Amino acid sequence: MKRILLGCFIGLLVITLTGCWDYRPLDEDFMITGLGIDHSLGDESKLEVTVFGVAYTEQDHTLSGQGSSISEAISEIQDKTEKFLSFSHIQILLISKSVAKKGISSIIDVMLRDSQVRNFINVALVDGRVSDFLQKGKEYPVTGSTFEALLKSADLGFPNQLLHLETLAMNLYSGASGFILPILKIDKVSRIISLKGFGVFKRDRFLEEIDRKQMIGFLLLMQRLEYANLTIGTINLDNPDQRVYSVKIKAASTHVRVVIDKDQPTFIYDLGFSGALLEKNPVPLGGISADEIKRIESELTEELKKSMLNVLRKIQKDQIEPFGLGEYARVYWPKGYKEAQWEEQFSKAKIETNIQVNLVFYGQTL
Amino acid sequence: MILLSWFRRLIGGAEIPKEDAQFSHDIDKNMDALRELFVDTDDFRIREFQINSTKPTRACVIYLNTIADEKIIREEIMRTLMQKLPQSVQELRSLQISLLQHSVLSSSDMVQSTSVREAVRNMMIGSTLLFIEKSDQCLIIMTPWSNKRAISEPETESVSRGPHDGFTELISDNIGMVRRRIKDPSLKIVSYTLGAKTQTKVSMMYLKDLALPELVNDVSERLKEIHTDSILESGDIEEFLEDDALTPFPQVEVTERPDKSAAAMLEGRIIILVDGTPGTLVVPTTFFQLAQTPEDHYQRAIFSSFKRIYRLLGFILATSLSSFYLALVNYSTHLIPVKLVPVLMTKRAEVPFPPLLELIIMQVLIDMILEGNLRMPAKLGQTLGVAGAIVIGQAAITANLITPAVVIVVSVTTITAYLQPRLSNSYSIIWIRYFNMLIASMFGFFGIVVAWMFWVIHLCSLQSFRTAYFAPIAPFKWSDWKDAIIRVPKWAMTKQPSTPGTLQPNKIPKGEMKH
Amino acid sequence: MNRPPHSMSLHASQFAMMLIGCTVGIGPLFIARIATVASGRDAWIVFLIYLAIILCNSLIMVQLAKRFPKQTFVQYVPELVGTWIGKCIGFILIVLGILTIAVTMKILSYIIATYVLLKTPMDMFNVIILMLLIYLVMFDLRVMGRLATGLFFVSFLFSYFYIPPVNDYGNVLLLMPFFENGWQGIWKGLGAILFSLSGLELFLTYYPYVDDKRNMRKYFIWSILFVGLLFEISLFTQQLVYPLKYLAHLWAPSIHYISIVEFPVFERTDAIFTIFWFTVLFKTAAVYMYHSVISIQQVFQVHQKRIIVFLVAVLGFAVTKMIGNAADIEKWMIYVLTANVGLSLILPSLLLMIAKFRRKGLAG
Repeated sequence: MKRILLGCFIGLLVITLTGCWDYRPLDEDFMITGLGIDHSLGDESKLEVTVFGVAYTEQDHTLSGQGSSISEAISEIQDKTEKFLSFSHIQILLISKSVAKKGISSIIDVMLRDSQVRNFINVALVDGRVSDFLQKGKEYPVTGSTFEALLKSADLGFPNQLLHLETLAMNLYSGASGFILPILKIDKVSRIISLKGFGVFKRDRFLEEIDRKQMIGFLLLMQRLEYANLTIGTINLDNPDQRVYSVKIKAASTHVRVVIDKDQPTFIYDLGFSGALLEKNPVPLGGISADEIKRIESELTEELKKSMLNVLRKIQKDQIEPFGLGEYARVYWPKGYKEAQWEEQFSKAKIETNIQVNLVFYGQTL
Repeated sequence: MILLSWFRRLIGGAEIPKEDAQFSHDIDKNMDALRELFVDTDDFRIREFQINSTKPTRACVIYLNTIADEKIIREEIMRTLMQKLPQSVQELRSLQISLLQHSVLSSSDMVQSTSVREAVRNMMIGSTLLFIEKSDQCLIIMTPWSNKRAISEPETESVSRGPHDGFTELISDNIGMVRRRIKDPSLKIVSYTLGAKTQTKVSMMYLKDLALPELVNDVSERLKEIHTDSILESGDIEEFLEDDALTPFPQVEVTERPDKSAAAMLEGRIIILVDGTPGTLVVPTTFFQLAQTPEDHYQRAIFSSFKRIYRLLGFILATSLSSFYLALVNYSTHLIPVKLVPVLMTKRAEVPFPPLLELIIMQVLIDMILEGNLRMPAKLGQTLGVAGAIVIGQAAITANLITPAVVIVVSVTTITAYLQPRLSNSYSIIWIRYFNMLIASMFGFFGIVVAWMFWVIHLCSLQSFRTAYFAPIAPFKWSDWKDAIIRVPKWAMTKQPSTPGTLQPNKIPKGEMKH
Repeated sequence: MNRPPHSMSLHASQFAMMLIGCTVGIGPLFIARIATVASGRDAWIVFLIYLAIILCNSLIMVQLAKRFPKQTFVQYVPELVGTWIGKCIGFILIVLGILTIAVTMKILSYIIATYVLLKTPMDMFNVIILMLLIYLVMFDLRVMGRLATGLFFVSFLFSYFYIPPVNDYGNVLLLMPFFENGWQGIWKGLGAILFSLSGLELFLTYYPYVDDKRNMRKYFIWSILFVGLLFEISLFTQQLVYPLKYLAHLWAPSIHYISIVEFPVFERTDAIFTIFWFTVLFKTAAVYMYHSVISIQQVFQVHQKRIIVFLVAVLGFAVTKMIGNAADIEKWMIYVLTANVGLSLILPSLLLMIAKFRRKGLAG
């Protein structure tokens, strides 16, 4: 009995005499929801880190700090506030184009290394100064969530996984030599933030910008397109026969074949889509004829093919390969494939498309 | 003889008299046969006397004194027979049972029989057997005892469906209540007189053909070893009986319900009744049995299964919600959903106390109110509740002394603690809760995991009368899951639970199973 | 107080749970990285071969244990190879046992220090874990068996975490081509993943304490298959999801891949996941601690248990002080656990031959 009591006493003593090292109540935290990385205004060699977050009694919800590394900049921010910076609730990581041009792999690594940071935070590029974006607006208190929602709700078949830090890291360490990130823009007057386009990366460096329309072709080549809105034709008031229609297409099947001919690989994309007619001008009174449907389908096929080949030409010229075709080449073309020279090999590779579109849905009217 | 009884047990005949067993002409033999049948039965009575006829005749009455009305036996049977008999009977040379039935005894309901089985069966429902010399007939006289004292339902164990009677302070009444539910001669009652000063009668009841002999021996050994001067309540012997006294988990179940006690005995467990208190001990018990009520068996299976899962969930909430809150707010802020952060943060910053102190203040206050309410007259109790609710719920929040989240946490833990059917279990929950809170305030989630690891090791190490306390999870008994966390329909429960184990593993004999 | 007498008997199923519990702890944390670094894309094939070897070896272990149904390994080894060599082998086993406890504790405290409590010193975790271990090991073996069964359900609830969300991220191309590095790669991989199934050798220690030996032998094989399958699924799916180079980049990929999944309620699942690893690694340390205590009692013929438990705890704590950073932990882990498995691969077949040759123990 004495021994049990002694044991209990020593146990309690050990526990209670410790210092609660990690004790940090919620109200002492500065919960960062958005983190931005930019160059210093005057000094290109220094980084400027901007944090936006929730903190009680904190007047300014945006704080910035400068330094040669991210950690240094963050310690400068820490000096400006009496709250502890907490990185666990970051919803979005914004990187300015100028920083992205110099490479983002070190930024990704910092985020990945810190066990506090969630790995499914979204990453986006911004057009302009990052600190303009991370400002207190009507979106308070969680600006980061607003950005996240903005990217998620963009009317484009863009899988959200592609924005995640984790996927980005996986891309960086896998065979693909490039990837894409969305670019946000801000209206100077109304301060409305919207999606501008997408940035293409070579290795970890920002290379060029593509617009939303080209994005469809890009995603098709990546085999990641979920759905897309296509509009074909323009309204011409002089010509009454001019047709305009919009179709929402949904990916039904995607498959890539590799055919080796004379030691040169040909990548064949077999893609199937189902479509839904959204809008048609002029309105087909009396229903759509079978010929008309066939015509729409073939036009859609052509359009998709065109957008794919346009993007492909551009990418091959840049000598990058963000589509993950390297894995196919490694497996199905083991003799010729060389990992170090794959981008060069890819720029000469032949790519064929085999697209099938079925117009299935017409809505309530035919 | 021993061999024979062993053989009888082996073939499963227990001690129920055979269908065709008959009484003999020898009154001594008849008495012996019944004595043997009712061995270890404390309320079994044989009263020998002589019938006052011309030639005095030996006779005896046999009954169970907890369910037979001794006043009727005394005044209507024995006094009639021992006093002067009517002239017409006196003149007869030899006495016949039928004569007594027709001309002497005035009871309204009686029947003659030579079958041992019929006699015993009637005895179990309160009849008295009358034997006379040189007769193989026995007279079964209905003398059931009806309870005059108002029997009320135990307050802490009330049910919406099921019998509404409860044990009283008189041990013989209590035994009678159980006897009326189990009409089986294998129901044994062994009594001890314990307590040097109080000389309290303590009775152990079990079913001989179900309860394991080792268990019966163990309980009786432990009862015999109690050396104390006063026993006023079953709590006085509970601590002598249990395996481990220094634990928040009760290893002895206390009930005031006769139906619950009967059900426990039908699973091979033992009940211990103490004179002077309605609180009856049921041993052995397991962790999951403490969270069961008799109503679980009376309601339909799917509903009672849900209720049991609620109770288990309630147990987890009651013990861990406050520590979970502490860990979340003090240490693992990264686990809080992002939209909840500003809500919690603003309220938290306005309160001067650290979360642990806040929780402890509230928890102690609530526990004090509950304790005060227990002893307060019912009319005043309402006032206390209102005062507590206004002071704690409203004023403390408005004055920025307590955060609303803490009030929610404390209310939930308090309500869920009393989901448990046993009050003693609710007290142990409070104990576990404070322990968990203390460790969680030091180490956050790691502390909670360590605390629960400690409790699980502790639960695994506990035994209740050599039965694993944490069964059927550890040790794992798949067949017992039918009546642990969930309850399957009655027809699926064909086997007795393997804890504590029974001599007859099948509940329903094979061949008689019907769906 | 009416405490029941000390009992050292175990049920066969409880023993299987103990074995699963102490095997499943360390392996899956690192196996995906270590195996793929050694043998590239063939890692999942390598593990299948390894599993087959371990299964064959377990049959030999069963044959050996069958001959000595009432003795533990350290008790009958001196009978077979002479007192001094026998005692030496016993001593090596004890040292390895203590080292395993230390390595397990260190991994556990490192996980906690990385994911849950970042500023608390790691020694603190070790002390708390040791206090729990001492509390557990002071009881008889029955309590350990029950705990293993109880915790099995906790692990069972979490076991779907072994399988990452393959449907969204998986890419079969990452596994192809098969046999990329040929037999050389497989041979290299076998050496590297030898550590992963450490814990199965404790069968020889716990054999005499189990009631129904026939069932126990059956459960032993089944538990190896169960654990092996779990490892294989974990390895295979991680290879499907992660590119090779990325796998080499992560300390414990198994914890990391949880971050891929988005759950609606909890923002961070990896912190919850560490709870699961706590229970599993704690079980590993506990089973090894009991093994060490029993072995010390038998090799040195000491019956006092209390002192030995404290001694093992203090020694274990001292070893954890010698292990430094993550790279150090991995080095120690691979050395110690490979030695565990290596001994269980070499010794039983050797001893079985000696026993047959010298006709010791029960034949057949």
